[in-house]
Formats: sequence, C-alpha cells, structure tokens
Amino acid sequence: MTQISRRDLLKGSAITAVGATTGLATIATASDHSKHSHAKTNSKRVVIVGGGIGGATAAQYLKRMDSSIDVTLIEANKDYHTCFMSNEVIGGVRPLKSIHFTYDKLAEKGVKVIFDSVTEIDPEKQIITTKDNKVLRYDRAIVSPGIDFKYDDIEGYSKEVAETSIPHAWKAGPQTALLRKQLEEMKDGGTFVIVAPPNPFRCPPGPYERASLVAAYFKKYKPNSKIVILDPKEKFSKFGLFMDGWKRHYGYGTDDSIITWIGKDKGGAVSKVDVATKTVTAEAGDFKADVLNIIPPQTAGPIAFETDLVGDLDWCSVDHKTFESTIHKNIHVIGDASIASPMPKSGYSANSQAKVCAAAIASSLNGVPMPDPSWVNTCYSIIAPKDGVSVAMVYAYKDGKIIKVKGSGGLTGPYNAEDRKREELYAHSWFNNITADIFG
Amino acid sequence: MKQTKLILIGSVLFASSIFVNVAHATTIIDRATMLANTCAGCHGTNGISQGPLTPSIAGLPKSYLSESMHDFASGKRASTVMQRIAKGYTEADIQALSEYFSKLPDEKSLKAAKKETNHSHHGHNH
Repeated sequence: MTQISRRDLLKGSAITAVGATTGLATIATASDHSKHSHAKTNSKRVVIVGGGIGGATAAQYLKRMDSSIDVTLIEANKDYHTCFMSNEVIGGVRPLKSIHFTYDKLAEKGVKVIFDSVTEIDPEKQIITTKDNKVLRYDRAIVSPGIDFKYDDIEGYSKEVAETSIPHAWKAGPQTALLRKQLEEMKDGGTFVIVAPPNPFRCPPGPYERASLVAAYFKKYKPNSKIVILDPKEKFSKFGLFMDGWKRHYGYGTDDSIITWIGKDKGGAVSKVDVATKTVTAEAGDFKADVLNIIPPQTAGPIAFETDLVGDLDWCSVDHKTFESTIHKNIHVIGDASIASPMPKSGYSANSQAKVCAAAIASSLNGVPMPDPSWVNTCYSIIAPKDGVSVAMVYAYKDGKIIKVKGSGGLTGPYNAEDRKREELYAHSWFNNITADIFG
Repeated sequence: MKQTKLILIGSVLFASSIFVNVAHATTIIDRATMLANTCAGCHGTNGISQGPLTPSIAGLPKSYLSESMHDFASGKRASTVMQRIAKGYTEADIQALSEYFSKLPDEKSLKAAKKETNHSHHGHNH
C-alpha cells in the first residue's frame, strides 16, 4: 500500500484541472462499479502492431506505467532475432540462438500476445482486423512495423532471391544464418561483396560493422579473401572511426587491404544484379562475388503504407512528443518506421521512443499531463575483437521537435587500447541489458 | 479550487485504496522516471545490470550518483561513454536521476528479498 499524505494529496490534486477531473472519475468508478466500471475498462485499450524493439518495449512500459491498461501485442512470428549483434553471428563470434528471443515474459506480465498478421487498420472506426479474422477495437494503436525493402530499385533482386541465394540479412533470423553459412563455405581467396543502402536506413553503421567483423573472420581463417563495399553514399556513420580501424586491423589503403570501399564519387551506386553469377553492376563496373549481400533501399513496413500513415513519404511523420501520426489520430508510430530525425533508426532509439510513446498514451488515457520527454541513443559497433566504438546522444524536446542536447553526445575518441576493450564489453553489456528490458 | 475540494471530500469518504488512484491521477510518470527510463538500455531495467561490464546503478547513494555525473561531465573522472552522456543533463535532471536510482533496491537487497520469499515458511533465517 502506497502511503500518500494529505498534503501530497492536496498538492497533487491542485496541479491541473484535468488531473482533478480524472481523480473524480476514478473515485466515481471505485464507488459505483455497476454504473461506471464497464465504460472505464473500455477506455484504456491499446493495440500494438509489431513485436520488434519498439512494439515489445511499448507493451512492457505501458503495463509498468498503468497495469490497468488493456495491452494487446500483435506479432506475426513467435521467434524474434535482434538485428543488433547479428553481425557477430555473421562474423562467427556468437551463435544465432544468442540473439533469439520470445514473447513468453511479456505474456506473463499481462500483455495479450497474439501471433497473427494485421490485414487492416481502420483509423475512423479504430478497429484492427487480422488474417485470422480477429477484430480488435482500440483507443490507441501503436504501429511499430520496422522496415520494408525496395527490392525493385536493384534490377534482378527480389524477396525470393533474398531468401534463397543473395540474402540482405537486414532483418535477423534465417537470412543471418544463410549469410553465415555462405561465408563459411566460401573458398579462401573468394570475394564478399556488400551492397550498402542509401540514407535513411536501419542501423546506419551496420553495413560497415558487418564488413569489419567478416574481415576479422577472413584475417584469421581465410587470409586471401577480400571484401568490397559498394556504396551510393559519400560518407557513412562513424566514418573516421571505421577508416582508422580498418587501417589498423585490415591494411586499409594498402594493396593488401582486406576491405575496399567504393563510395558515390568512385561509382559505388548499384543498379542491377545477375543472380546466377552473383554479379552486380555498379557505376564503376561489374563486380562478381563469391558471397553477395545486397542491403536494399528501405521504407517503413507495409502496414504503414496500407494504413496511409506515410502520405507522400517513405516513412511516417509523427508528433515528436507523443509519436502520434500527423495523418491519423490515435495511431502512434515508433521505431525505424517513424520520422524522428535527428534520432537515427537504431534499436536504442526504438526502445527510447517506445517509452516516451507509452508515457504519452498512459498519461492521455488517464487524462493527466505527461512530463517533458527525454531520449538517449547509444550505438556500439565492433571494428575487431577488443576494438569497440560508439556514437551517443541525449535528446530533448523543444519547439515541437526532437533536438540534440547541445554539448552532449558524439563519437568515441582517438584509439586507446584499454578504452576500446572496455567499449566492446560495454557493447555486450548493452545487448544483455536492452534485450532484458524489451523481452525479459 | 472547487475540484480540489471535491477530491478531498471524496478521499475522506471512500476507502484508502482510492488514495492511490487519486495520486495516480496527477501524473502517470514523473520527470525523474522519464529520464531514468533512458538509462535502462545500458545500465539495465530498474538500474540492475546484467553485465559483463556496465555497472548496476540502483541503490547507490544519491551523493555518489550526482558526483559521478558531474565528474563524468567535467572530465575529472575518466570514462568512455558517460563523458558524452552526462553532458546532456541540467542540474535539476542530475538531482532527479540521482534521487530516483538511490531509492531503487540494489542487487543485494533484491536477492535477499527473493531468498526471504522462497524460504518464508522457515521464518528464522535472517
């Protein structure tokens, strides 16, 4: 039993008229269940579409903030693999099962987990329909669909090709395992080609960490093998840190370099793939791969388009304080699918946004104000064993926008062996802690 | 003010459980919780870290937590990540965060409480 003093009560009740009104409603419900409890229960239904980092975090934190909220999570798959740390699986330093998570703990905490696919969201009637013909009414919906791929932007590439022979492995799971298997089976002296995506995309340092961890694997087990990154961009996340790391570990810039990066001005943009020969056509010419990884241009997940949460864009425009869609009322969009710039599309961002969104919804459903939001993002990348780096930032809300807090954040400093060793261990700590926060 | 009075009357009239509901009605989460939620990604849910290196911060003295944040921000205390994070907060934020985490149960007391629950029928082992 929480003890509240009479003074606290007075102070609390006087804060806002809105708060006081809700207080009255609560008292009425408690005093007369037969009359009001039905209406009350029905006014706190939240349905979450998508059980990735954003969706699962939002479910957990809505329950934490107000256990009386009826939270339903709809997710297509019973098994979830985190994208973060999947590069360590591809590099052969951790097993796939170590990035595997389920929804058992969420269900234990009172979240109704439904394994199904959403076929339609009706923003007017506030109804969600599923493939199994379930119909769910919501007071607030949270759409956290993650990303989809523009396969057509690369002629010859498709979902089927990605699943069978040329994985993108940009959603972790079977394709992560497939890419790892292909790298294991590749002969020494082979070439691994990574086609990097244009901005914006999920996990901005991801393609370069992937190249780094595969380079570490090649260096140890297949020293005659090479990596070519074809990139439509002039620069990328943690550019200086990766360049420096690649020089120290993989001979970058020399004739013997394991990694070659071909950016925009050198003709790195890829337009076409010949699937049979694993040859991609870039502006710089044709590149034949032994193992090919195409990470296509990206958009918000399909349900965002089907529900018209995107307007003319590829991503969902949202209110930066509540993450409510600027197109449809009472639908909130979080994670990679949302436009939350200057926050990057990262797992930490999705986790942080989900908590702010949960606070906005829990506050609104109870008719009370939410506190000023605060977000953090910390993205770790591992350049080589015992060489971890990061980019970090604290975000605040000002004049209707998410802003970087001046003076905070930034990149790992110049190379220092002890610090880099620590950052790798911090990266692994982060993985253990954030996954426990989301799925534990 | 009229509404405030009504609530007080209501609180007196009804059972004590209503007090919690009324308290909830002011805010669902406060600013300290909002800030603290962002720490969980690295330092663990409720400030309890799963390791291997990032420390738990639950149950540490408030003065130690606020001093650490100041020293990270100023560079007095060497760090890798926290020197960048600590600079993102006002003095009020630092005080709120330090207070919040200092009041959470630390690992040791959580373990003890768990043990107590498991062996509650023995009742004599402290």
